[in-house]
Amino acid sequence: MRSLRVRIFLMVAAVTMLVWSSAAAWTQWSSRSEVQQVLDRRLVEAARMVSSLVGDVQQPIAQDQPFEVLRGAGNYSRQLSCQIWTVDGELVGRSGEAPTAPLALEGSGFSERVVEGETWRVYTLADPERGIRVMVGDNLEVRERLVDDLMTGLLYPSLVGILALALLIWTAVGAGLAPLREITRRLKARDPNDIGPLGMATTSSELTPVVHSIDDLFHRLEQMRANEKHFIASAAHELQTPLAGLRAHAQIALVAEDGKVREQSLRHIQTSVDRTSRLVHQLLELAREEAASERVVAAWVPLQQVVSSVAEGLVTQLQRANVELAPSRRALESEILVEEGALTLALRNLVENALNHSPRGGTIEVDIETGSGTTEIIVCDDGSGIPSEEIEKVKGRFVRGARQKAGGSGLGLSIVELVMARSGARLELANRSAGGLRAALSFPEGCVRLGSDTVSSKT
Amino acid sequence: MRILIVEDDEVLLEGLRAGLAIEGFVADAVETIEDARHATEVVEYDAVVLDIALPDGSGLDLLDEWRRAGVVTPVLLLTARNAIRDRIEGLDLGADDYLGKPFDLDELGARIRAIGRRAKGVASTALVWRDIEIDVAHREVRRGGEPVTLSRREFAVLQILFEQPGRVFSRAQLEDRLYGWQEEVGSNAVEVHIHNLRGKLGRDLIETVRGEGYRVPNR
Repeated sequence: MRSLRVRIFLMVAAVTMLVWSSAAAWTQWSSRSEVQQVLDRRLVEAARMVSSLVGDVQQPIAQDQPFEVLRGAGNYSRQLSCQIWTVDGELVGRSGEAPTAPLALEGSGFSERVVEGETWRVYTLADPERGIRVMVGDNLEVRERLVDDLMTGLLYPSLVGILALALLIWTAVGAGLAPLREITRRLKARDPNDIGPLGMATTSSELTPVVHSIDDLFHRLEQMRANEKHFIASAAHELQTPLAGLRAHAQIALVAEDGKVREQSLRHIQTSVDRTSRLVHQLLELAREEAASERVVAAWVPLQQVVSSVAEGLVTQLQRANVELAPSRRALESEILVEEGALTLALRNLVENALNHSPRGGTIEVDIETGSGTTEIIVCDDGSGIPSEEIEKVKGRFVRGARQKAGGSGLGLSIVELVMARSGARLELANRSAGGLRAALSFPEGCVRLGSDTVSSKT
Repeated sequence: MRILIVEDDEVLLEGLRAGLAIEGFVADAVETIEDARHATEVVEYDAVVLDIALPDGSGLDLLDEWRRAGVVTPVLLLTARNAIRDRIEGLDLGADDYLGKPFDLDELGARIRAIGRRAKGVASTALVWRDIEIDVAHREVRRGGEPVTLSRREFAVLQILFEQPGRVFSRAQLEDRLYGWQEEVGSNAVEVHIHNLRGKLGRDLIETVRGEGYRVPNR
């Protein structure tokens, strides 16, 4: 885990160094050539000056008394050496520290030559009219030292500059990352139970999405926690109430002197145990469905298979209530692209729900209907339906119809909605005009293959 | 004591009705807030046992509504939500007591008697009139230290009259407190109970105020 500050610093520093060293190299190169040019021009000028001063060479200058050309013209001028030769190759004069060997060979203009172990940059000015050649040379070593000194003079302040720059970049990056540190500080200082927003109204535009995402996440967490709390409270209530009933009846059965009262209480205990175990069963189903992975393994499932499995599971209850489960032929011949377990669970809950609301001798119809873009599996009962103001509420957990006597847990429709949502289907409730409830599992197009008779009747 | 039970779970409701009858209460039972509202308009109850989560709303809202309307009937809240905050909310809204599910029927009975006593300004469970003592908690009656056996209704009549000595109760008021909705009341049932009480505990115990009703005279 590397520090973002170090990372940004290294990147900025590397880029700066690259640009800076390119600029330095360029400066070096251009300064060097500039200085070379200046020094070369000085050679030319010196040569011309000497040439104009010499005058006539008929009176040769004593060889061992070399005159000094341009003495005292500067620190480096001493290294400027001058020789005056006749065209015949005789040395007629030279400056004080100039070697006696010729600084240049034939011709005129610039040349370089090693004389007595030292390299010279020489300008030769030939004056055929007066029969002389003036050679003015620079000791290259000295010249290089001059250029190097100049370059070093440029380099040192730059090095100090780059160190200062590094320090400034480090500080600036740190300051630029301050909002990030602030977020970290707030997150660290937070109580584990505190899932309110971060409360950072003003932050940089880059961090705003981050802050928003964090706040959004916290918000959703808060909602989830509230839902969970509500669910647990409801589940507790739903379990405590039948337990209270059991407790009361058990106590009555123990103390009742009247045999009829005792028998009544024992019957109530039996009913209550049945109901409570169904509630626990549904709570487990709900928990299992919620924990299930999002991926659904869908396959073409014959609806008949699902309906018979549901009917088998509910056969005793159906018989006891004298209610008939009547799937249509069209429904039985259809196939659904769905996870079989999910559809069975949903359909069982719908049929159970219908059964709870059916009058004795009633019928529960299971049918399939196509609409625009959707196909619905329908479970209808001939009970009393749901008052229209409650119809949307009853899908909520632990919500039962206000006048419901059937003793459902209020979880059935929640379970149906949950498992069907994972298969892409929706639960829709409506009252039938003839009375009773119409519960529809609405599948998107392509998830249902209708039975053969429908297809043939259409074509 | 005649009490109203508001509870939507059928099994628990039956349990409460039967259990409280054994405890000597006359109990009416309703399952919704709406029915509870109607019931309290018709009958003057000595106490209400109120569940919080009801199908057509929260019992707390009904309690709040009653207290705002000046209804002072003692209310015992019955609920599975046992969190302290819920209890505080319930009590602050004007509940007289609170019992979490599941509960013991004897405890519920004792608590109902307690809130009923408090409402009538009686502190003790023992009521004494001359040489007659009644122990409300154990439903025992003594005359001069000797136990006297009374029927459930006789005891109830005696308790009603004893709790407010000097107050005259009409026959209708006594019937109201003695019988629930489902119970048939014989036309002279109250007279029969009064007659029996006089026989067991002495003629001067209960006075007949002509045209008005009955009372236990102030000492």
